[in-house]
Amino acid sequence: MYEIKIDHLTRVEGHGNLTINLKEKKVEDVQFNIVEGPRLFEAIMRGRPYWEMPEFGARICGICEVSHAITAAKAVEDAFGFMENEEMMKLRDLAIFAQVIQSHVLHDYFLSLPDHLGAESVMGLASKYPEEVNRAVRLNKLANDVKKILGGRDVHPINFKVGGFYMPPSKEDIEKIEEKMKQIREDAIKMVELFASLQYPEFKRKTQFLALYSKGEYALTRGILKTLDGVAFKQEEYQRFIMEKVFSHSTAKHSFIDGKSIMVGALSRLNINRRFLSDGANDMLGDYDIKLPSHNSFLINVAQAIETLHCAESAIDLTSELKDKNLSRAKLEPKVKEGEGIAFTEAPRGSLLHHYKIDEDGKVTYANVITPTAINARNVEEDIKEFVPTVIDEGGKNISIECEKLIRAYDPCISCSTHFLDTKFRR
Amino acid sequence: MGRPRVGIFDLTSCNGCMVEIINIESLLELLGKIDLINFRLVKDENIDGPFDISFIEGYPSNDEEVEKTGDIREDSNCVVALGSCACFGGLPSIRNYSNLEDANHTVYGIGSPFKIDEVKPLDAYIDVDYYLHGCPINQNEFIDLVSSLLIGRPPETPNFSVCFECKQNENICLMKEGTSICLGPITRGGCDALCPSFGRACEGCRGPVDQANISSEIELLKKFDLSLEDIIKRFRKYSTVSEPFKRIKIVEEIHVED
Repeated sequence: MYEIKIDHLTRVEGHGNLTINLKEKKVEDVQFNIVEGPRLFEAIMRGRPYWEMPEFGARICGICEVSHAITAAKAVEDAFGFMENEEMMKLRDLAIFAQVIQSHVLHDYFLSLPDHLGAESVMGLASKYPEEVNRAVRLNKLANDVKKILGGRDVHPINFKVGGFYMPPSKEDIEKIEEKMKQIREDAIKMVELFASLQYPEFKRKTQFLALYSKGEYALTRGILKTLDGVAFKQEEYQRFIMEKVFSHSTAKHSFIDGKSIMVGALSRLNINRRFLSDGANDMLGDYDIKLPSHNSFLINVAQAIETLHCAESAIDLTSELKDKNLSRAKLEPKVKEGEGIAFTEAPRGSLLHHYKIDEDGKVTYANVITPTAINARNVEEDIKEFVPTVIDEGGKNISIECEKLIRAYDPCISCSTHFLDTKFRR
Repeated sequence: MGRPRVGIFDLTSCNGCMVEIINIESLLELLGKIDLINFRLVKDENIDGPFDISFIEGYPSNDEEVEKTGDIREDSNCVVALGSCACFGGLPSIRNYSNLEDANHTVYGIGSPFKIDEVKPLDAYIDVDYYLHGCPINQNEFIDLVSSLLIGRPPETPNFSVCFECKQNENICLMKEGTSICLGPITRGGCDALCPSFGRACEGCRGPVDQANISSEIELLKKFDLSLEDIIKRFRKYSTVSEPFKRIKIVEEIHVED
């Protein structure tokens, strides 16, 4: 029996290790060790005023902070029985599009691409692939520009609130966003061309895909939860369907539906919601003959490129709708009342939950956050178990490298995953 | 001197400060002037020093991270604390004022296998040469600091309050309007008063400015309809463990200990 251990995975957000125990050529056990220290967000949220939740939520993660901030705001609004108006909803959707684009670009180009082009970092690619690196830098900047216009800055936005926006954007702002999204669309087409043409390992494992579903749209900010196999439930029913367990090797809890692991994220969404993709994104799927549903986790890279194009196209449509709206309506002060609220959105890495209970004074008495990486953690382990035998003959070092690539494809966001809560510890 | 050898490290944190660095528009140009030998978030091949400059995001939260922090110090000429968590513990340090066991059980259940300690900033463990404040850091301050070190000039830390920049931006004072409780008067500037410029109060993410008049801020906050507990929560947020804020106590009245 021997052990393969990768300490401190590189080019992933946060601190994770991987331990594989092998006996002969069989995998005995796999542990995706989330070793990031717990920050106990759900505990520090308790006793704080409701309006701080978007701000606290953002600090859970420096890569998907817009998703956390908006999801937190929506969950608090749900507790108050407050409904977002059309302007608020569309502006938030626009912010989520920018968030998904920026995060996907960061992952596909900065973290994953070096694996495919044989470099140790994106900087190492700059001399040989200047066009790709320049495109990555430009896409990242354009998406950040949009995040700045809507959220005030690129990391940890300050403009999202319970009740919409502290300062709603102007018509000129929307025109600027439209212009930037048009530029993003051009680069996103090239991004799909690149990532759809790369060679990925032939690896397939049947798993459960989970994503938001809302008829008629590629759901990112509303809808029910649905698996590809047909399990469907309302957001407020999540505790009956998603089971969580604490394991000592991981400060992220593991999640299960029907006792089986779950995958969330770009590939899940594409598998479930493909027919609602924007026209350009859908056409490119066809051009590259990408067969769906796909059970190859490595194709998350391609799915993220497709979604980048989809988000740019959808954002352009939204800006033309928003130009004629009275955007000052996107700032409201919801009435505080005692209640419990839940919101799921699709963060770049998958379904994200914020759940709060709030007392009559507007103080948070209970908080629960479930992040996509935590949901995926178990699925990563299950994937590795089946993947290792396919590369077992390549020897220790190469097994490590290939496994690290597989984990990286998931785009794990480990800081995020280490603080989500259930009240019971199950053995 | 050749190009300085630089490491960018993260302890327990959200990686937001590192992402701010990645987002710097002139990053490739900047990288041409330094030798970035360790940056786990974007690089595979990372060298264990020695370093001319090390940047550390986050705070050490377990024995391994404490050891790593010490090792980085030993291998570095200059250590820079990157962002609120490294400077003062950041939002996670709020838990220092709650029952740590309860906090642990709240998140991981009664049988939690994890050990939870108080959050302490970087300088509780090692000597820190420079601080980059904010949640997240400000890109311009990062560039300024690197440029200063490159030319051998001591970096400057802004030592004026957020109010100073807020006035420069010609904002109407939110406190004066009576609508918001703002920490601008006692918070270190350098953010160009971003939050008040969007019509929301300063939450103090950059920590207290030197010689902040905290007693006077407390008197200002008392004019709002707040309990003493609510007032103290305003200080126990991003920089709970900064020296001046640690001295704020409620003993019948809220006051700053000498």
